[in-house]
Amino acid sequence: MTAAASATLRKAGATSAGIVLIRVAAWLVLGLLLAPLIVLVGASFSSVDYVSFPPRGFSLQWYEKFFADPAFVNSLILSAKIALAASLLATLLGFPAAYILVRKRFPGRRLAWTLLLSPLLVPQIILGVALLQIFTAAGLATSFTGLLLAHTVAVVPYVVRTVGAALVGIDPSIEEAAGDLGASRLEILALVVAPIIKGGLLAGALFAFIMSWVNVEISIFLSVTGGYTLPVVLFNFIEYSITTVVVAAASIAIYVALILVLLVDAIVGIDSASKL
Amino acid sequence: MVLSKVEPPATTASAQRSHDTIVNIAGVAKSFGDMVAVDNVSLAIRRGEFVSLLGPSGCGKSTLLRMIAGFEQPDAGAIEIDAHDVIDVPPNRRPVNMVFQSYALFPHLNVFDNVAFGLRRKRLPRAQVEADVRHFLQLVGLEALAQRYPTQLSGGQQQRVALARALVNKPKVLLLDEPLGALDLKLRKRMQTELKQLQRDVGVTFIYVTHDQDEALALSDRIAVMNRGALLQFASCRELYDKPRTEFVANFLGEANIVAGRVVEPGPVAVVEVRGHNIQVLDDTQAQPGDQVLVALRPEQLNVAVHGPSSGNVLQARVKDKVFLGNAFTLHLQVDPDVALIVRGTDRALFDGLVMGQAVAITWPLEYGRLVQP
Amino acid sequence: MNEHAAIPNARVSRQRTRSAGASTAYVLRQIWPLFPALAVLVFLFALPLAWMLPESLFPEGQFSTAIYAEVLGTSYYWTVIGRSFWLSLVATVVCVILGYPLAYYLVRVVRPRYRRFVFMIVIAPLFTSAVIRAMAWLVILGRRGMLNETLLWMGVIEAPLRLLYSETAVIIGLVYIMIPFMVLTVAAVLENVNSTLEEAARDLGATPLGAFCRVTFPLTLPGVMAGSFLVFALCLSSYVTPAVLGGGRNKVMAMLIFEQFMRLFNWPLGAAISCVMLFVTLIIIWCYNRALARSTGGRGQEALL
Repeated sequence: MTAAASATLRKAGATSAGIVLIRVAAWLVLGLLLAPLIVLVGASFSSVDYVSFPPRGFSLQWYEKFFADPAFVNSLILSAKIALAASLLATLLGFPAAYILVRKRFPGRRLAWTLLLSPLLVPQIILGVALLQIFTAAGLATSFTGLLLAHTVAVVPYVVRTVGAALVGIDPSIEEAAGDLGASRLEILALVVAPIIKGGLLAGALFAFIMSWVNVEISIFLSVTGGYTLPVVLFNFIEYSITTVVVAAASIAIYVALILVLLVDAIVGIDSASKL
Repeated sequence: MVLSKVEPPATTASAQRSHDTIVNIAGVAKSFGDMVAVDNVSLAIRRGEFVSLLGPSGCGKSTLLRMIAGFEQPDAGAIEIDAHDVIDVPPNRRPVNMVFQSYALFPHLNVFDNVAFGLRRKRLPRAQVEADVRHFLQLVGLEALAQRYPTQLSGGQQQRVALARALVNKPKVLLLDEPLGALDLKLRKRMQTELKQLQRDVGVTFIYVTHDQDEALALSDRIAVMNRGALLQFASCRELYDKPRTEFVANFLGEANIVAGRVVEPGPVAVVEVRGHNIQVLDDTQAQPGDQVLVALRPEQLNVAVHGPSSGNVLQARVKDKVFLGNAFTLHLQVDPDVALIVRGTDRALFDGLVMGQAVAITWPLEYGRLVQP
Repeated sequence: MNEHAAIPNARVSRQRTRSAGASTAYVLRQIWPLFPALAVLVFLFALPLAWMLPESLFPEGQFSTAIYAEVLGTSYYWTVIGRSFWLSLVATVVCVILGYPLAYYLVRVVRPRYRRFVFMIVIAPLFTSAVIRAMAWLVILGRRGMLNETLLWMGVIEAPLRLLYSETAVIIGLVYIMIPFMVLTVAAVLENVNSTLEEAARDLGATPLGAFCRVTFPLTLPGVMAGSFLVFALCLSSYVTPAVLGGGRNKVMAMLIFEQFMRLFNWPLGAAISCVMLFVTLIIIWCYNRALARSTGGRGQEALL
């Protein structure tokens, strides 16, 4: 809210007691949101094997153990590879699709739009089993390709939605002007549209990356032979026992999340991202 | 529904085309669902002309312009540019360029690259592009701002970049869609003068869309007046003003008193009975005796006299209101309870001599009273 | 040059095959860049999803509603379904209570300089996997976890509390995951409520609290409803959190589905439960869309989900 508006609110005599109460309540909830992450990160520096918070002692050994363990490292690499490839693929598929959906009128447009966004409506677990079935039938249930395609399906909606929102914001006459000046359709997309919405494109790709990176419900169904993504590895560990090295692995994921938050903020501003 | 009863002469593209015609529009129609945007419009525009498409919003002028540009496809009719049928030609291959209402400058390119865009699409050599762009930037007075970005420019400057960007491609026709709409009055007047001068210098045919009659009159060689999708009249400014064909045109360009009457005697100078008086009016609509017609009288052409003739081309009335405007005045005269006329004049002595309710006689030269279509 | 030249003085009217009655070929040529994405979604998503209904109705090649009779008839399944609804309901209510003040703070109170920072805190958990968030609560609520250790140390309790592997733990976990969704939905709606309305109410004699209760809150109610539907639907279909924090005895629908597909290999049964969950979720999402449309004055925002 603008400085003027909050000043007005104060001038209107909104009781400072009420404001203080809201502030306290809000920060309590914010603390609640942060606390678990802080607990994990804090516990990861503990020097003992069993998980405790506050941590006993200080040690980086669990991080060392993480990077020394091939299973962990491979899962990290696999998660990163899949997320990167899926977001790229989703962008390649989603950008032209969003463009057509926003700019052209044709029968079935609403249906196509809904279809492209519907992976977001469907419960993740059901998405997972549906993909399990089709990929098993196709013989891809334990392959990298299968996992990649499954993740792509799940994250395309983020690209379509983000790019679609960016496209809506452009004055359509700009594309007409480009056409009027002699640009072919491809030239219009590449020379005019893409540069203008590059923030939206990047944001879309970034959201797709993040959603693939954190995904569990699809990855537990479609693991790659001999390899799992990081969230699945962590999930499996939880069934047995949690030791500090597992917490360290989780902490690494938290650091990545923080970096991603800062990245999103840098590209589109976190407060507008929250609207998406 | 088409209101105008003016039937355009039966046209084919070839029938109305002459060696001078650069844009030939024949029988063009366009509907969006149930809404008729353009209804059977035919126009032949000459090389080097400044033509305005004038009308209120929703009259179809922008749609017509966009069809010439190629952004809309007509449902029926033909469009020829320089004798070539362009119906199947996409916008990027037509020899026309458009200046958009919102300017549509590319925000990610600076002024130079904006203007150079069309030339680069034609893969012209770099040196030529450079030279042409500089030339046209100079023409619009913006060569110093070549490195700026559109967001750093004022409205008027953006407008000029849009102009340069279009003209640099040497189009056969330049289409302008209410380009001055976003500018304030003073700037608009200045840009109008510049535009007219630019058109004369460059010699390109301009087709200009506007809803502002003053603007159209100031800029155009000929004006096409449109309403509700139909073309009402396409003529020079003078002709439109002196010889409006319909009530709408008479009211849209300038002011007109419109009085209803009944034809008594037909002819090029018809006798029409208006409220018990018989008056003579010019008629080129071939009205028949008994027809209910409309007479258009321009306020500034009417003469008011206290002791006027009682017969001939005269209407008797009473003064209902007189308004002093400094260098001029307006009189509201009541012919009878249903018919009021406005008179504008500058004769102070006359003005001062009139009192409310006074009986006066209104006369006018024969050539300024004419029949118009509803 | 022009075909009309052959018909002098005739009215020209050439029917176009384009525009209003556009030919299929023309349309297809215009929209083809859409097809790759569409194909992927149809073949890898829509069809497999649609397959689940026949899969559950033709368990052995024969049409039979027996599976649905079982799912909707047996008390075991009802317990699980009922538990899913109950947990989701409680979690949703708690989310509203915790989320609304934060949303209000974010939109009306926080100083502009810190706004982005607060947003980051709200969004950051969403960028971590659900597994990680559940794991954190394992650490906090465990018998030797942070909460117990602290309470023991403070002398509040004598023996560690059994908090984990209970419905309470699941609710806590769900609330933690869902608060950001509630906050963002309500915040978006709150932004659209003109703050001068509150001022007007004050000007007319209402106390600040009264102005809030009578003016602001009612106006945000559709947004609260939208957020609630969203959170409810997400809770209902949630797998990871209940699986981690609930223990084997507190199953929810999503866990049943996983079990049928991955352990018991009874795919038709799994498909049936999935169809039930899908049906319920879609209804709730529909309610969510309606509530959202009402809260933004029908400005036609695309749904968050």
